Amino acid sequence: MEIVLSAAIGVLAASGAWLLMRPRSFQVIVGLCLLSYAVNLFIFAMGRLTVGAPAIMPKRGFVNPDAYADPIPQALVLTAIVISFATTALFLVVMIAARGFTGSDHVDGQERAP
Amino acid sequence: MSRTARLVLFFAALLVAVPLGILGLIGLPSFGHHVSTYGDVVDAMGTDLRHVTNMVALVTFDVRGFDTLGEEFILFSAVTGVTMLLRGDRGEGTSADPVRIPHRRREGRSEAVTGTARWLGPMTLLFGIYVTLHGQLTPGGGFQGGSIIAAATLLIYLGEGYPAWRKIVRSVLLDLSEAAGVGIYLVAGLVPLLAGATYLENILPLGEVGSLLSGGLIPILNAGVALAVAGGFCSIAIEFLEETREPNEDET
Repeated sequence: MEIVLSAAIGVLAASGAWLLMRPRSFQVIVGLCLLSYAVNLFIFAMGRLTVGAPAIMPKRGFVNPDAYADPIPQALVLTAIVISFATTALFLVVMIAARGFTGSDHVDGQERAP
Repeated sequence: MSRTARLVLFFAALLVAVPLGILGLIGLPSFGHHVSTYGDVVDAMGTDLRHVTNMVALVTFDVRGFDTLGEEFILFSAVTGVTMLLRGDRGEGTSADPVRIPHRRREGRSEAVTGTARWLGPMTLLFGIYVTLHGQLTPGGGFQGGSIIAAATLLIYLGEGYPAWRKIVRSVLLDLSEAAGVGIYLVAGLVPLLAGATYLENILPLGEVGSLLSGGLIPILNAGVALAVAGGFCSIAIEFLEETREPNEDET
């Protein structure tokens, strides 16, 4: 489980970093998305990788923290997902506007001279 | 700067960064293992302190409630930016015709899709409201419920087409929902100040554990977030889909 998840995070982060360095603005945005997925998964994994441990408590009685998930990473990732959705939409709009102004989707605003 | 100078600078920086990085990685707890005692304390004391059973909602809306306020403002400003840049001065009047792409056939909508969307739409909306209202008891809350509500309105677009969707889901309603959501969060935080408590302090009656009206301030903040998220997501979808429409004849 740990190996699979850490490999997945590594692949996501590497693809995101590679896409961030591409010259097309759409690739940069997809790269940012992949990087944020990687970071979200990494934070999520900090709360203990077990199956069947919810963050929902019984109504009363003693609570053994080992039997339940850590709610802090889940709460952090929950808000981060919503923020990244909204900011990605904003990035896309800015990209569309920039393309309308410059006529090119190169991150420098113009194609590099040959 | 010449290529050689850049390479020298790069390797000099690498000489410092790599040992420091390795030094930082030594002593980290192994991946997937639990480190925080903060979460354990919240798990152990949360139900007694705030009478809620969903600890994620407790962290989002009570323990770290102030962070969620900042998150609400980020969402609000991002949605405002999208709307300002895309809406322009075009207004709401857009035609039913999507932009034609050469060599792509336009298929009509199948009756099965319309029928399924008509069944699923109201049920999805109901489920979104359910998830929002039970945010402090079961997995879910304002963020998840708001997204489900936004998805329910998108089912109208899928089943009935763009004009019907725009007729039911007005931009002014979405703006209102977005602003009201953030406003509820802001004002719900200010009210405890009048009673002499700190900002966003949970001083409302906490109710019985496991009932719908438990948790004091948490269900109110949940509802605010659900309104903001549903309005925000839906207006982002509407603004983007408006870009795919042919302009009307009377428009330029």
